[in-house]
Amino acid sequence: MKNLLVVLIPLLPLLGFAVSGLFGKRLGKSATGLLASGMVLLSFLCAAALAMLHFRTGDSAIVVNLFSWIRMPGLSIPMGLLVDPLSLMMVFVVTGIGFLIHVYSIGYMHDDDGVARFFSYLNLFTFFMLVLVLADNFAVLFIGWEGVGLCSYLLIGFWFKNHAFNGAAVKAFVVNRIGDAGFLLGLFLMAMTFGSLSFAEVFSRAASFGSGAPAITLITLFLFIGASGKSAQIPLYTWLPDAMAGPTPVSALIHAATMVTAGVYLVIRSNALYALAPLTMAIIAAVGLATAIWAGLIALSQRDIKKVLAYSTVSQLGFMFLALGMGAWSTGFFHVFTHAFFKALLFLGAGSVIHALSGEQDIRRMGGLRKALPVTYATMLAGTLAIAGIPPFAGFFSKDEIFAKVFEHAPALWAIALAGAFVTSFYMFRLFFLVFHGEFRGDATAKHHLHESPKVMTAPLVVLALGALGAGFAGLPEIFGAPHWISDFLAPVTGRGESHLSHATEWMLMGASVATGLLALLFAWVRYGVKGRVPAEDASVTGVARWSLGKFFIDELYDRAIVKPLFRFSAWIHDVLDRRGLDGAVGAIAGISPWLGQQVRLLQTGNTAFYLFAMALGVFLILFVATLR
Amino acid sequence: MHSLILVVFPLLAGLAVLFLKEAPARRLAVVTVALEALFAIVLAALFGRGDTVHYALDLPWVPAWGISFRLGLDGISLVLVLLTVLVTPVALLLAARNPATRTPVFYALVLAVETGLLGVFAARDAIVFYLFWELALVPVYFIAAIWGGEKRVAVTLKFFIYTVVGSLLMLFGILYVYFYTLLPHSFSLEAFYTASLPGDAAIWLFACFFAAFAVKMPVFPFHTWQSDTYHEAPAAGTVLLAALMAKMGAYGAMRWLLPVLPDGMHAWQWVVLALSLIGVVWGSIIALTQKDMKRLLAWSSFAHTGLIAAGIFSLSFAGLQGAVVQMAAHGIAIAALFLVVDIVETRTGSRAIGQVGGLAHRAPLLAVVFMFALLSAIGLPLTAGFVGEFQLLYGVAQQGLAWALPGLVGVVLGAVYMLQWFRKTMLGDAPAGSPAFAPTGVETTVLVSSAALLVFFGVWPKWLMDWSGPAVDALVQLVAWK
Repeated sequence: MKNLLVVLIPLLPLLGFAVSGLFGKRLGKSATGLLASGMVLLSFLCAAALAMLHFRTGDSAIVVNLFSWIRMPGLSIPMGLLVDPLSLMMVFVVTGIGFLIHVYSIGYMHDDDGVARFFSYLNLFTFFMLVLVLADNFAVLFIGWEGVGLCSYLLIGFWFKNHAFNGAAVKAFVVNRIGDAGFLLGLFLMAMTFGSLSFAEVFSRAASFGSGAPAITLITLFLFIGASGKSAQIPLYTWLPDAMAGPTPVSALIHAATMVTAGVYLVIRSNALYALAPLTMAIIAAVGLATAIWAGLIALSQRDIKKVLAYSTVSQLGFMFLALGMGAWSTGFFHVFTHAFFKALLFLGAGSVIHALSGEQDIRRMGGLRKALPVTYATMLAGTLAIAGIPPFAGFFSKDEIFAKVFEHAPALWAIALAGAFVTSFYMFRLFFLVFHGEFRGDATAKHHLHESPKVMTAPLVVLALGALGAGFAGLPEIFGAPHWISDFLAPVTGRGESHLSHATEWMLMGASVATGLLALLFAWVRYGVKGRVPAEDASVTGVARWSLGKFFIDELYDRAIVKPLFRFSAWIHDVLDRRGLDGAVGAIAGISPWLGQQVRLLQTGNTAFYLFAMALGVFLILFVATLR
Repeated sequence: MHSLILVVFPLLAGLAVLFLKEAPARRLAVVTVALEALFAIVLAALFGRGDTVHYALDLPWVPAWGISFRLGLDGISLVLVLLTVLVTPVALLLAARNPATRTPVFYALVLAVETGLLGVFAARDAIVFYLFWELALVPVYFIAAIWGGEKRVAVTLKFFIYTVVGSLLMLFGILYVYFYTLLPHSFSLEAFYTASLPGDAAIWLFACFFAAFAVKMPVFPFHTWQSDTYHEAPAAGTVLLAALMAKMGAYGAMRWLLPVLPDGMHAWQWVVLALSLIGVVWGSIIALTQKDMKRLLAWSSFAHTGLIAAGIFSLSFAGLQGAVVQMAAHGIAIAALFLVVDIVETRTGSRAIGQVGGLAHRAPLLAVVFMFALLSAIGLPLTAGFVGEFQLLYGVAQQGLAWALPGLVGVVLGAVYMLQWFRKTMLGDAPAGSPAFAPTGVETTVLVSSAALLVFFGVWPKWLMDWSGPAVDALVQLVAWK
């Protein structure tokens, strides 16, 4: 019974994919939407039933081996699923928030011709994401890992008539592939070191290695390369902002709430390995913090509502890795959890705004939308407060916990992170005030069109807003005296983190982050709410702001330093080295025999005396050689 | 007896085909390849476990010289036999689609190639192997030289000389080894495995055999015939070359090079491993800027074959089994992709990348199956291509993790050139007024079943592994043994 439930969790969305992919056009738009949403809801219910049946009794894990997938001497990889507290929580996030986004999509995609295709991709994504989180070994995890990458590619390029969108889709896939190459190296080294890819075996065998063992450091670094591709960390983050080309529900589901957190999940899942690799942990902390700040600075001056949110996602993922770098596994997961609510909410809210403005995404053409879009306004406010870390919204608790852990390990990093929190709060309220306050800056037709989204879209917003308000209570700080439900629940997987901070310090840290968030709010309010400033036209931006607006020109750098030279190299290697060099050499060698023939032919002069001379010379030579022996 | 029927039936049918008019000839050819496929599948279904050779046959031929008509299938042969009988119908379909190649002679040549290939995969006697090896080559030469593109004569001559030089070196090597087999001398595979070669003979003999197989696969730098020949040959010929004949080289290396000359193999291992991996990077980089779909697939095949070769020369179980799995996966995917190219070319009049676009609007089904074949080609998990690629890379990594790096470059770049190709051909907006089209029923059947096979063996590679496992294991022992 339990095993069946485990298998049904990923299988139901796969079924939904098959049905809407094959028969979607015949079923009609609303039926496919309902079917796809229903499958995800059923998955969610299966997970809930499983939680009721199994995890109340305090058991820790269920393993289901479906069949043997790849089998070689010394390495056997079963198609195995694992349900433990960590994967169960991820399943709830993926199916719960995924379900809301599916429902929202029914309204958002209503007028699109490709509805059936859209929902089949969305269901396929859910399937692969569930495989990713339910895998009981690294190879099956990799199935989900690359599978979600494929769906991300398909959905970014969903509107495939647009050439730029297709380009963004290819870019996303390829950048992720670079990360995946690292992942594969990690898998190979792991298989060679431990003779297994199963979580249980690898983690238990790793325990006999000392801390800092080179093999483990290398394995964890390789896996982190994969994680930094999927979770858009420096230097592989550039695909995520471009991925906003996809329909907005896709950005919410894949590029905010679920897929991009897979890298964080991978590290948390492998915490037994990472705990043995202090060097890797330091690198993760550095990369995470740098990404958090870097992306935040870029978000400060973006004009596209979705781009701001995309960079904010990159930045928030950076904070999650910062937590992981401190060894605070459950803290990192807590932020994954709260972020899923408020970032999905922010994206769906942005989608609602875009929907009301018939596709407009430039915040300079928005403003004053709070009257026309009251529900969107209220829910977006909840999301913005949550990400800015204002209590009692969800982001406050998880971010505060990260900051406390950072302070405990490295106060200097804490100060930098706090600056990052200031930036976060500022760009989010900049966005919020520019969109919803002041006067509407679009044209008259657009103004006439303004409308709140239908209930099928606003209802998910409201549910997510409740999550953005309440999700933080799953992890109350220790000083409140309440149990930290998340870290208690995850303890079998992540172990139990100990805090050595005094209560006074904790209060001080909490006060500092709240004050930072409020201060940034105030600045943003004065600048964009009171003074009504609007971002300037691109051409007039100079100085530091220009670098932020231009995303520090990293895309241009990659293009000039890697992409263009590679393609030039390709043409050169083909034309010069291969065709002229190798093929030319082959031609030359082949040319020897006709040339020899030509030369030998010249001997056929018809002169009998010459023939006789040649014959005599030949006989002489033979005899000469024979006597030498 | 089964294996003899399996091998010679297409050739005999091909002879009959020669004397028929086009329509009955085509029917006979189709029935032949269908029966052949059915027969091979039955043989596979009845295939026992264990490393022993099944369906073995030993008909004395020239007893005085130890030549016998020895045939038999082990797991490695079986997988390649299945690939051959599944892909030959695709070649036949491509031949019948094209007015120029719709002739009994062409069908007969395709059937002769099938016999040649099956003979190569089933032969367990060096002379028999050599005869089938040449039998497979000659018809393809005629196919390319008679029905090829503008530059067919020069290009096929180059192809022919390349392969003949390789073959002659191999023949010399075969004769040399023969004289050092235990008494009484024999050309049987087992005699070759137990031959005691003098001194360092294995070292230079390795070069002789390697030349033949390296040209056929091809391995860098013996590949310069490849892109031209794929480009000039008619679609049916290209499919035979890319999906099947390239596998002859890899198979030959596994059966007649590694276990016959293990000392030579160990001496040369680093060189041939390096050459194979250079090919992966070389082909992948060149594929990035190809403008012609057939040339793109040629270079991509070169890169894939390079990885297969690297897996073989890694001498590890994973690498060798990965080579078998990947040969099957690549064969199916590349045949499907060449069929896609031919459909695009016949319907739009061009196979230049960038000249046609937006085909997903005009032919949605084509875009879907194209995507499946592409995903297997770039090794996405749950396709057969992933299983093969994973095993190959893992096998290569066992020689040192750094050896896997060039292979991974191929993994990344493969995604670049394949997705760019898909994007430029299938995606984007179709020009206004361009008519929709659907592949014909036969085309659809072939394409959909290719996609289904690729997914099936990606999820359930167990059969491929169960079949090939004992044979690969025996091979690993032989290479390590001497």
